[in-house]
Amino acid sequence: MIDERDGGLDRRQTLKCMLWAGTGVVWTVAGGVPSSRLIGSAKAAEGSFSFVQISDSHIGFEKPANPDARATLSAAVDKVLATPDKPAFLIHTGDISHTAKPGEFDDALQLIGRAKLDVHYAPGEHDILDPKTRDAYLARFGKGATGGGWYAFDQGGVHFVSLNNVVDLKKNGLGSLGPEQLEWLEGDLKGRTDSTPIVIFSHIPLWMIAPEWGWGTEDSAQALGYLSRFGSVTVLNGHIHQLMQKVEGNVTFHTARSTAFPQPAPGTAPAPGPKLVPAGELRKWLGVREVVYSPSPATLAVTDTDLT
Amino acid sequence: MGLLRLLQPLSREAGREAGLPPRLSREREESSRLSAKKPGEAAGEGPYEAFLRRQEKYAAAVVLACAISAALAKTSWAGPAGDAARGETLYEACQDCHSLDKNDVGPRHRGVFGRKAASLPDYDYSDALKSANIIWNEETLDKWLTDPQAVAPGAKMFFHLDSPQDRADVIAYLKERAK
Ligand code: HEC
Repeated sequence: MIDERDGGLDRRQTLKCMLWAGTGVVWTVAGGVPSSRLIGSAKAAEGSFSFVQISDSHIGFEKPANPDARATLSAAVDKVLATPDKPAFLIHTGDISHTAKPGEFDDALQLIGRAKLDVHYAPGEHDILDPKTRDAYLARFGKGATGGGWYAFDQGGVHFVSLNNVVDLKKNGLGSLGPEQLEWLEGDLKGRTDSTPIVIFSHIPLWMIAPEWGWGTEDSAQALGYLSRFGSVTVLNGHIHQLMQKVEGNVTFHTARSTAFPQPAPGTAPAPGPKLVPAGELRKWLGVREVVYSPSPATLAVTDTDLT
Repeated sequence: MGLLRLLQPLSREAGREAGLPPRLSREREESSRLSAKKPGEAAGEGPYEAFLRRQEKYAAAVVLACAISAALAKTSWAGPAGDAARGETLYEACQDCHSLDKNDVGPRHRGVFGRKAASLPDYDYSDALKSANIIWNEETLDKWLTDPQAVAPGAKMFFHLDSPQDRADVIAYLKERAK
């Protein structure tokens, strides 16, 4: 089940590669062990499909770090349209809007609609600020979701779960899933075989990246407990506006770039928040992610592309 | 703030009962003992005149010290001095949720220094902040930026700055440049 097409890389080299290569490396994940190879060698296998993750479009944001978040989301959609093999669908991992205004939501829908693909959303804390905005969010993006905004769907043998960890934030803004959602998740996973590849996505990372910045989810360990028996689990998150990866047993975690503005790496700034970069460089810091699934052996290959 | 700390011992002495503060009375004793031989003293000026001259200067110093400490005493804040220019750069982080002139995820900030918490009519504050009954000044802002949930449990702001200097700089920015 392990993709070893690139041979010579051991785990440590792989991790280094993840940290420094950033874009241009395809991640192949099978049985929880990732390996990498350069873009271009991905071959469409029988029964394979791909999907694209976009994140943190912050429609309505118009400050120095990005005076026009609509234009950069539009550039992200152009990238999707330029993908050689048409993706099966998009996922958006939250902070669709900046301040959860109906007009921002509608602009985002219109811009993303240009891709003419199904889109599966997870809310960010900028999308649900209170009960009123929660209802506005669910009315537009919550198709098929429970009242809490979480749901699951299947595609080509892969089970996808969209979680909401942005309501009831904890210390420093840490995410939380809450008992009701955890119970739902346990039930949703119950009948599935261990060999079902699982993709979980939510806005705030489901692993502790920087608790002092609220970059983690307080009760994610419980969710990961339900997932431990599965052979291949891929977790896709947003929120931190930069690429990070981590492998823990059979689970591979990825955070995505924003389409709006970058944020500092933990430890390099006094606080998280929009990071100002020279105007000409902004699009290097933004990006979209393509994930290619091949069924035998089951692999998920992750490719990050910036918006230049 | 360094100034305030420097002047504090003086004004404390000045607050004693009307008599001479200890340092000065010791000086008087000394000068009367040594007056006959003191070389720098003006001819014909006795120890009493010299004392009066010093006391005049002292009184002037006390008046000045009182005026300054009264001005500073408006806030009893004794944290680090803030650098508004550095604060402006740090304010980029706040811009995830705030602007000076438009309500965002959080309320607009122009004029926030000196304002009552949760007092903008067109922003939908949490009940927690609405009932907090705070005036925003150096001290209350420092507490808020250290841990908003400790100031108003249930408030909608989840963000903090660890470093006292960072907080002082952002506060100086709000006070001086976001009037
Ligand atoms: C993640 C979003 C977020 C960030 C980042 C953030 N704030 Fe806030 N802030 C809020 C929200 C939301 C409120 C309203 C709180 C409430 O109603 O409980 C608020 C309220 C405030 C208030 C009270 C204003 C009033 O009208 O009473 C001040 C002052 C403040 N923030 C300062 C700051 C400063 C300074 C920074 C940066 C150092 C910052 N905030 C960063 C979300 C944020």
